[in-house]
Amino acid sequence: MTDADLERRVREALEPTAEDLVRSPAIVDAAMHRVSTTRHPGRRRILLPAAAALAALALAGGVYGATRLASNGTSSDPATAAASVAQAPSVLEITCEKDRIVVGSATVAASPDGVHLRVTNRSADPEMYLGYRPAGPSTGEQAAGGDRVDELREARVEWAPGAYDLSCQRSGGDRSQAPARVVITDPGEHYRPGGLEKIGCWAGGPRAEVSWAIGPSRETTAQAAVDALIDRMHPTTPRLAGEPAPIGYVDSPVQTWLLRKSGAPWVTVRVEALSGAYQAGLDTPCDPYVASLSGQREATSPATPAR
Amino acid sequence: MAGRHDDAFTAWAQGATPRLLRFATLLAGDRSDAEDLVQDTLVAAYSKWHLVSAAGSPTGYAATMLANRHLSLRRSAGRERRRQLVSAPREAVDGGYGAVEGSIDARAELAAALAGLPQQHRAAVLLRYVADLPDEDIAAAIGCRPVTVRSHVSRGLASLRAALGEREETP
Repeated sequence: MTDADLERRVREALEPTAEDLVRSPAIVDAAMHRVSTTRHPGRRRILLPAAAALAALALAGGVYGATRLASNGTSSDPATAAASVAQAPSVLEITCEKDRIVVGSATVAASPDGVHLRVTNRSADPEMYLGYRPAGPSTGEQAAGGDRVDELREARVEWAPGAYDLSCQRSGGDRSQAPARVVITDPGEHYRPGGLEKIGCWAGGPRAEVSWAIGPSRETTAQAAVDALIDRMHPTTPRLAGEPAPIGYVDSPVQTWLLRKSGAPWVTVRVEALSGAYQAGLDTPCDPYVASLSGQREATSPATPAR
Repeated sequence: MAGRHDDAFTAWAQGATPRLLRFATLLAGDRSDAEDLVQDTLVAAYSKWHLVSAAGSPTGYAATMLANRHLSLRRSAGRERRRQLVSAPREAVDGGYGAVEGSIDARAELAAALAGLPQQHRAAVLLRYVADLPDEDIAAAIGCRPVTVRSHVSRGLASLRAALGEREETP
């Protein structure tokens, strides 16, 4: 076999097959679904390793944050800061200027569907990002990440209650600006605390068994959308059952469902309310699934410690 | 909240994904892993679209991202423990194109031969031909020097030639 023959055969092997052509649209759809999920401010979250037991400390951190902000000039004593928590507005005004971030209040009250922001970019930089991360002790559910300011404007995010440091950053990662500390309060108890672990799903693990290229389903009800998604997976993953998970904001247009396989938490589904329809897409695999792959552990119970 | 480059990205992704999927299948030796890799690569390419779109070959650039991710995952001890699929390439051959018409065709033969190569050799050979990438780009993707890429490609092709020669001589 000559070098040219071998090269030709390698090039031929790299030409897509009919199966590749058939499978590719679903992979693109699934990737775009993940992109849209990640781009959603409330979904670009990193679950921090702190235990949920730190929730009380987070509340203290929130008051501390407000107090600290107050000490920087907004007001002068802890009592005033506490009062501002109680009277928090329902929309947080944020302005990114050229060299600083300005927030309209030190606190914002969560709404039933999440936290509402009104973001203005006065930096003249279209690549300005709003960065956010927990400040002080974390509940373990607080969001961290960044979103392009020009894509936020009037935004609803699903940040869990607690204290956050917000900053305006250029896309190159400039973090020279001092952050602004803001406390998200939840006087109406709209947020149902507890992450995926609350429903017995320990996030993480590979996605080898299920074809992750299964695209989202769309139906007229959330239940029907989840059922349709299950139907698509039925040939490879029998005995799935879906149920809504009581986590996050009660009226959020994005709700989490849990699929159980043989009774064990298996994967979460993101169900999004669209205009006149519900779209359900696979989201986070649960650890029992990893256990079933490796065969090294029994199915994880909700009491299993977080890794 | 649509990104400004969604249309351009989607158009590119729809055209490039079949080729990336073929590349990933040959690289990973497993169809399921390949689909995961392609999907992860598309998501990463979206976030770096300004770099991908500016590359001489966006698909080649994405292929280097894919190869880099694959090799990174392979280096992970946890990954190694969970997956022992690459050492069993028959699944890729039988479950993929090899099953077509119930026979192992020339493409499947080559895939099986590729699956027998060390990871770095396989990645170097495939990246060389997936988009005629220069050695410098391949080196950056697989984490070695350009001179080592040439060595990987040379040794990989020699191994392929030997493996395919043996098959052709087998009655």
